[in-house]
Amino acid sequence: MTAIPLQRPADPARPVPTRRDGREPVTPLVRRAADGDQAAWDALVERYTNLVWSVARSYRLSSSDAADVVQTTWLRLVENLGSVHDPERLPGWLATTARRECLRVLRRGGRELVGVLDDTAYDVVDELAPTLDAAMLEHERDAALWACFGQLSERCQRLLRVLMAAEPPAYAQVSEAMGMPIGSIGPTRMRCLDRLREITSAAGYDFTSALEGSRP
Amino acid sequence: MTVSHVDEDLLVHLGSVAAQVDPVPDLVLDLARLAWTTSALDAELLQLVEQTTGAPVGVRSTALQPRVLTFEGADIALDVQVEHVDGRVRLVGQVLPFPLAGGAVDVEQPDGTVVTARVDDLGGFRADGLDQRLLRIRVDLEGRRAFTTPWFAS
Repeated sequence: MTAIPLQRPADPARPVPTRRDGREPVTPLVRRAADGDQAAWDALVERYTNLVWSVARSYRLSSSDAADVVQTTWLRLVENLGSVHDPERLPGWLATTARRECLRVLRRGGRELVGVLDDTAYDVVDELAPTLDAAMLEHERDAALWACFGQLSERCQRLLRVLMAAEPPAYAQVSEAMGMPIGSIGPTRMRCLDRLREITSAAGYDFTSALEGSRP
Repeated sequence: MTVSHVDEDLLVHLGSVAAQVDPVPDLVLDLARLAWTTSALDAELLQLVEQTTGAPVGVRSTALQPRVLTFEGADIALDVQVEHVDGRVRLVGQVLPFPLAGGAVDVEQPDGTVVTARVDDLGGFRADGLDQRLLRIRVDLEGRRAFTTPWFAS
């Protein structure tokens, strides 16, 4: 097998560092995956596919287009696994790659797309938006929350979908992935969440106090 | 409770709602795991350097118009035209420099299926009947490292 730049000789004297949550950090996972360890690859897939999916859905791609974007993103990682110089930045790399693939799908256009990149499209029925099936949600207020989320601007939805993902990238990487200045992410996040609370409040739901009781 | 905690809680809650309303489909996870099997570390990865469509200027290109992709490596180049014929994809391409002594190219699809196409004396090849959205072309030659294109959309 060809030498892989990331590969380092194993040092048995140095234990693999673990995080407080007991999970292996991303750097050794990437190195092991580059070294041919499928279990490490699977662990990366399980950890970060939610993020990649969230990016694709934040571009309002249909389920099948989003699936293509996710698959392509992971195939690109396989291609580039040997040359990942900074594995800590993997979440940002994945988000950036997914965004690029989303834009490519949108540019090719015409196929299974409705009202993308057009905020006015929120006024029309969007058959491709994640179907809100209230029965899927345990609580009526969760269904209401998601419906209210759908009323946010496209920019807000896109940013929040990435930030709410199970393994969100650091702000610097979000900045790169979303093409937003890093200094505007915090304020935009705050403004978008405030806006969401306004919308939910107008709909008769209060998610500030309601969540307090649910804190562990 | 600080404002940032309130925001953090709302985001976490939104995340759990998103996971219920719009979960990652199992098939998507399976395909992501399977991507691993496409590793081609033994081959030189060519770079996509140019992409042109047959669409006239000002006309929005669509998936079905022929496109020409140009890939380059250290000392090799590969041009390929992507055409859609009867719902299938046809690739017509050329490997440069030519000639390649009796070579062949493998058109790979993410599910592991491979269509092998003979390379003629001028480096030309043609592969028909491809049916997947992502393709890549791999060329194994005597006496040098194999090379492969990145995955490209058909």
